Amino acid sequence: MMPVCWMLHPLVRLHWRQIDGEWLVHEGLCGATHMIDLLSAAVLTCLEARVPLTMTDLLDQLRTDLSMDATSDQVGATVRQLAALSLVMSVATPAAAMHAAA
Amino acid sequence: MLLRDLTQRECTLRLHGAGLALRTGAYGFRIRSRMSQVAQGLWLLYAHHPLLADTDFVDFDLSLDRVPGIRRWVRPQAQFLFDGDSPFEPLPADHAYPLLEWSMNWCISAHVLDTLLLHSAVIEREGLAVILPAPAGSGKSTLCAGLVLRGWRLLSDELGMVSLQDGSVGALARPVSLKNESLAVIQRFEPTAVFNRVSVGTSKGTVTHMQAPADHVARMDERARPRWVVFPRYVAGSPPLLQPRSRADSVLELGRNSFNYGLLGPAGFETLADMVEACACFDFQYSSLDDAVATFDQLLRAAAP
Repeated sequence: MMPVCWMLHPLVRLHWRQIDGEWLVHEGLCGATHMIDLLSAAVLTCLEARVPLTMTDLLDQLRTDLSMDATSDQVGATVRQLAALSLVMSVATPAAAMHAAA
Repeated sequence: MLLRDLTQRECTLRLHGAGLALRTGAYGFRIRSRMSQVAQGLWLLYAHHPLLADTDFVDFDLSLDRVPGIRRWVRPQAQFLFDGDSPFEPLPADHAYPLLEWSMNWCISAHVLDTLLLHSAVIEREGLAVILPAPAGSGKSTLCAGLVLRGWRLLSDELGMVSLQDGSVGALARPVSLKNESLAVIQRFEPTAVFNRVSVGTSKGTVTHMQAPADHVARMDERARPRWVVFPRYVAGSPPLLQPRSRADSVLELGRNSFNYGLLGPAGFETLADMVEACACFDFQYSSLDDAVATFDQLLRAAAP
């Protein structure tokens, strides 16, 4: 079975602000603003590169790029929350992800 | 020329004819009406506002008149027309003046897209503005009126207008809307305040409007720099409680209380976030206007360099 990849929704354009350690992210297309926690901000930052990532990729990037030791359960819950906000989406394979992005 | 330079009859004749054109802040209104309470209310409450010439550009052209036909005699109604269209259901004729004020609010809130519009009162002192956002019933307008009667300058009791260019807030200096118990509260607080006649049984209860002080109207082109965001809440019997609140959450709450934040996209977000980052944000619970005045004056003193 192919691993699920996560990617930023292709239509999403994010605008960021950190105020007093709290993160705000504004989605330019629908005009919604969300206050998110540090892990959500980190996951979105990883996915902003527009490269579809598996859960393993995400955990690696969080650890190596951002020095964040999150569990797969924590990151899984976070991406599902971000998907519920229509900020990220899951695709079955990297190839499918590239197709969705195109 | 100011409206007070006209007699009430001259004001009425303009309203009956080509229209009474006046400026409130950055916006020009041309108003036509044959209803006497509209003429009386405008002449009283906008006495200090500048008039525009018949040939001047106005942003909003509106009329407010009795509904024709059988409604002229049976339960007469007042109808607001904007550019000839009727965006609202008519209201009882006795509610014509508040309908005019609400319609003027709607003209700005539904059409202005070059400015971030917050649903809030805004007051100023020493160039520093307090944004007072709040849902209906929170005591926002009562608090605004009380502070305006004790040295704070009125920018607006309903519309916070934040520039997308430099983040400053503009003024309208229009009358302050007061409802139900707040009317008596303000009358006791400042017996010299000028009020329009009371309209009873409106959708918001008993309502009237308080005239903006003349010097506040004269300074309506002076912009201010946002310094505080204060979410007020009237709680009977409460001592004044001013508590810091999350600035990030304040951005969200102000966005929810905006008329056009969702339409402005990233420009609205950046403007709002910049504004809040330049402000201290508080929740404020109060029951006494004297306590509130002291609290706000202390805020100002604490901000002094």
